[in-house]
Amino acid sequence: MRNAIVLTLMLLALVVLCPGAAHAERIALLISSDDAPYKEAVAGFNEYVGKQGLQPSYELINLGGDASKTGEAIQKIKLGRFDLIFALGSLATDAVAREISDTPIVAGLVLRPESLKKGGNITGVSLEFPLDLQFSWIQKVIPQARTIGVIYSPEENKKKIEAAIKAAQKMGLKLEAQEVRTSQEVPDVLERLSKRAQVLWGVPDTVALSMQMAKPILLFSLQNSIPVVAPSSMWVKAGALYSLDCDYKDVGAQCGEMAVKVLKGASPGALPPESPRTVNYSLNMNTARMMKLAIPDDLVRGAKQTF
Amino acid sequence: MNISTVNKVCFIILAVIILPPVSSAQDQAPVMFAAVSEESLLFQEIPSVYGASKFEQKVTQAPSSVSIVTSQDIKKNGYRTLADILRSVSSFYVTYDRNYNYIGVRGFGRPGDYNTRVLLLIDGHRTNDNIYNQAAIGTEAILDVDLIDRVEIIRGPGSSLYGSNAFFGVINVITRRGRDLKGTEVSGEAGSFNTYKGRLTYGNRYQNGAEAIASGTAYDSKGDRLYYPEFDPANPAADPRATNGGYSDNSDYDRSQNLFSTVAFGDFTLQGAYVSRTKGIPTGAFGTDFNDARNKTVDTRSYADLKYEHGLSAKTDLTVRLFYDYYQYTGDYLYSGVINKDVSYGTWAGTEVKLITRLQDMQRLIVGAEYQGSFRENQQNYNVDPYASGLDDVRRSRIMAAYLQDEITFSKSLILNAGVRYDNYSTFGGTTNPRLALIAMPTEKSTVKVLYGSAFRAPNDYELYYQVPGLSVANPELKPEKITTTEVVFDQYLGDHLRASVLGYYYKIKDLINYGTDPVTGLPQFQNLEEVTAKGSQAELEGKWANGIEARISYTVQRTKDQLTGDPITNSPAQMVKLVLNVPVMKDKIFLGVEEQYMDRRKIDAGGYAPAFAITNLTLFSQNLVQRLDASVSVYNLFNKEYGDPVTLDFVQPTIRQDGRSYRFKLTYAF
Repeated sequence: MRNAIVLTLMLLALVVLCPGAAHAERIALLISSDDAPYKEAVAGFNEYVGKQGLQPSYELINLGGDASKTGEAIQKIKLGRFDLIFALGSLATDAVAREISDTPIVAGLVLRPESLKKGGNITGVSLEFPLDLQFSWIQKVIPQARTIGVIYSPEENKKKIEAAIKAAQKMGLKLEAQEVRTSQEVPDVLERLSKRAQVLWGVPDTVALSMQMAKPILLFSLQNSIPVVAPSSMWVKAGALYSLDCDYKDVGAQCGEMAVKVLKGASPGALPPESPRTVNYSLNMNTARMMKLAIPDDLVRGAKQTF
Repeated sequence: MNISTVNKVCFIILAVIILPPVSSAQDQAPVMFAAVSEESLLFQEIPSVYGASKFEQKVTQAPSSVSIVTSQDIKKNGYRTLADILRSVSSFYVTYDRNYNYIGVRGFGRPGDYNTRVLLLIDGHRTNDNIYNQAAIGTEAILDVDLIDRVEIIRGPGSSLYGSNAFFGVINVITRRGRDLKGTEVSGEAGSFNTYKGRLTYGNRYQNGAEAIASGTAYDSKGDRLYYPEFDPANPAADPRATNGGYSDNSDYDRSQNLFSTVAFGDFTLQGAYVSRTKGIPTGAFGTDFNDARNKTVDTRSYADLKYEHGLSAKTDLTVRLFYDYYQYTGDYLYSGVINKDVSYGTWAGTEVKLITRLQDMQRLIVGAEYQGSFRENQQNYNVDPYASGLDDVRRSRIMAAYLQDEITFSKSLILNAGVRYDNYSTFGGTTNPRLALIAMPTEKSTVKVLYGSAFRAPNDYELYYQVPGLSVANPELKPEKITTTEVVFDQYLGDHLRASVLGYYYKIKDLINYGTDPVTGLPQFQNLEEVTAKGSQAELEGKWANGIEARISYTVQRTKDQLTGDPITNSPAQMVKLVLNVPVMKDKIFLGVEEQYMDRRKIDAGGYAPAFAITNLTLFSQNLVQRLDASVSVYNLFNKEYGDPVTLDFVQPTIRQDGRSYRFKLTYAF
C-alpha cells in the first residue's frame, strides 16, 4: 500500500511539475502490482519520455495482483479516452489486449512475447531474452555442458520448447526436454534428467518452476552437481548457479521509446515486440565452488550481483 | 499377527493397487496457467537451500522412518567405516568381536548373526552374500566410506520391495559419481595401532555425457595388544589355553584392499567392486589357540552390475539390471597347532526388471520381478595337516520374486503407499510380504505416518547345511524367520531449522533361528525356535542452520521380550542416547564435530550384563583451508572409557573389550 502511495505521489508530482500538462497526451498506466520491478520500469519509462520533450499526463491504475480488479480498470480506461496505454505485467497486459482494441498499447514486464502479438494495437518488451542469447551464455559459463535439461508444462511452454530444441541444435547443444503436467511429477522427471543433463535450464513455468518447486529443484541441483540456470537473481541467491536478469528500468525506457514512436504516429502493429536490450547477470560462487565449476574471472567481475 | 491376517493385508493392498483411487476433479486437474502469478516467478524471494537438509523430502514422504548420512557428515565426524556411520544414527547400534561388526536395530542385535537381518545395498545392488547373507560393514565392507555420497538408513520391514534380509531395515548406500570429483583425489591417513590407509580416486563427467569413477584403497592396521584375563595364567579361573600373560600379541591385524569403479553412458551404468580383507583373530574365539597370529579370516567379495534405465514414455521408466557376484571366505583356526580351514565359496548371478509408471497423475506404480541363480554355494571344513575333512557341501539354488508397489496421492496432504512382494526359494518355498503406509501431512510442517509391514529372512546356507561330524547337525528343513511391525511416526518442523521426530513401534518375530538340539543325535542344530516381541519409541531433534551449525540428538527406549522365557533378549539396550554436533569454527573452512553415544547395559549370553557406557568422539575437519586440501584429526573415545560388547558363547570372554582412546589424522588432496 505504501509503495502504491509513493508511486502515485511520484506520478502526481510529474503531472503537477509539468506546465501545460492539460494539453499533453494522456497515458493510462496499468500495472499488475507495485513490486519493485514495476516501479523501476515506470521510472525508466517516465525518464525516457520526459527526455524526449513530451509532457504526457498519467493515470495510474494498480491491479495489486488481483485479477478481479481488471474489469473496473478496463472500464476506467475506456471512459478515460487515453492516447496510449502502458501496461506492465501479464495480468495488466492480457486484460487490456483482450478488452481494448481502439487504443494503442505498449506493454512491458511480460514473460511471454506471445502476449505482445494479440492484436494490431499492441507491442512492447517482454522479459524473455532471445533463445540463442540464453544458450550462448550457457556455453560461456558452463562450456563443458552439451546436454541441457529442461522441465516444462506443455500448456505454458510447448511452443517455446519446440523453438528452443531447434535453437540449441544449431548451437551444437542438445535439449533434453521433459514435460510435466502437475508438480507431483517434477521429482521423477528430475531423477530422469539427473542421468543425462549437465545443466538445468530454468524456464519460467508456473507448474514446473513454481515457488513450491524451487526448493526441491535447487536441492536436486546440489545433490546431483547439475547447475541451474535460473530465471531470476532470486533463484541464484537461493542456490542456482546464474541467471540472466533484466534491467527493469531499462525495460521501462525501452517501452518509453516505443511509446514515443506510437504517440508520434507509428502503429503499434508495425513495431515488432522486443526482448530486453540490456543483459545483467547474477552468479552464485558458492554453488560454483560446490560443483567444482571454474568461472572465468572476467565473468565474475562483470556480474551485477554475486552471492 | 497370524498368517491369515498377513494374507488379508495382502488382499487389501492388491485391491488398493488394482482399483483406481476416487478423487475429486479438482485434485486431478493440472495446475492451470495463471497469469496473475507469472512474474512472481522472477520477482519473489526464494528461500536459500544452503541451510536445508538436502534430502528433506525423501525423509518426510518415505513410507518408513529414514535417516540420511551424507558425505559431509562422514568427513565432519571422522567416520571410518559403515559401522561408525550406523553407530551415529538413532535406534541402531553396533557390536564388534574384533573380527566382524554386528548391527543391532530396535533392540535386536544378535552377536554373531553377520547382519543377516539388515539388507545392505550399494546403488541398489544387493551386497549380502549367498552363503551367510552377511552385510559387511567393517573393514571387510566392499566400499571405502570415502566413496559414499550418502547413506539412506530405512528402518522397518522392507521385504515388500526388497525380499529377504530387509527384516529390520535397509541400508542403501549411494556412491559418489564422476561429476562429484571432476579430477583426481588422493587421500592418506594414519592412526593409532599403526593404522595406515591410502586411496587414489579419479572421476569425471565428460562432454559427451559419459561419466566415470575409479578408485583403489589399501588399508593396513597392526592392531592393538589386547589383554584378556580369561587367558592370563595368573588367573586361577583362566581357560586351559591361557598363555603369554593373557596378552594377544600381533593378532589383531587388519589388512584390506578395495577397488571400485562406475562407468555410465546414456542409459547404461556399469559398476564393479572388489574387496579382500584379512583379519587376525586375537580373542581365542571358537576354542582356538590363544595368541597365535595364524588365526585369521579372509573375506573376498566382488560384483559386477550392469544397469539399463530408459524412459519408455513421459510417465514410465524401465530399469533392467544384470549382476554377477562372488564371495569367498577362508578361516584359519588353530587347534593345538593344527590348522583347521573353514572355507566357503559363493557365486551367483541374476536379473531384475522394474517398471515405474505414473497413472492419472496421482498414482506412482512400481512393478518388478527378480531372478537370482546361485550356481555355487560350497562350504568346506578340513584340517590341513594331517588332512581330515569335516564338511564338503556343494549346493545350487534359485530365488524368483515379483513385487508391486503403489503410491497414491489422494490429496496434497494424504498419501497411501501399499506394496506386496512374493518370493519363491528353491529351498523352502514361497513367502508373501506386504507393507502398508498411510502418510498424512495435516500442515505444511507436519507429517504423520502409520505403517504396517511384514518381512522375512530366508535361512542361509550356513544355517541349513553346515555340519561337522560329532559337533553339529544340519537342518535343511528350516523355515524363514518372519517379522510383522506396526509403527507410527510423527515428524514436525519447528520453524525453518528444526525438525522433531517421534516414533513408536511394535514388532513380533516368529520362527527365529537359533541353536537347538537335534532330537536324534543330541547335537547342536539350527532350529526355528524362538518368538520375540518388542516395543519401543524414539525421539529425535535435528537442527540445521545457514551458519553451518548442525545438530542431532536422539533418545531411544525399547523393551524386547523372549516369548518363551518372558525375559529381555541378549544384547538389547533398554535406552540409547546419541548426539551429533557440528560447529563451524571458521566459516566454510573448519568444523568441529562432537559425538556422544550412550548405551544402556545389555544382557549377555554367558549371564549377567555388559555395563552401560558413554563415549565421546571428536573430529576437527578443515576443507580448502589450503586450496583443494581437506584435513582432519579425530579422537575416538576421548575419555578412554573402558567398555565391552557382548559376544556369542563361542568366546570364553563374556564381553569383548573395545578400543580405548584412539586417534586418526587424515589428508585428502584433490587435483
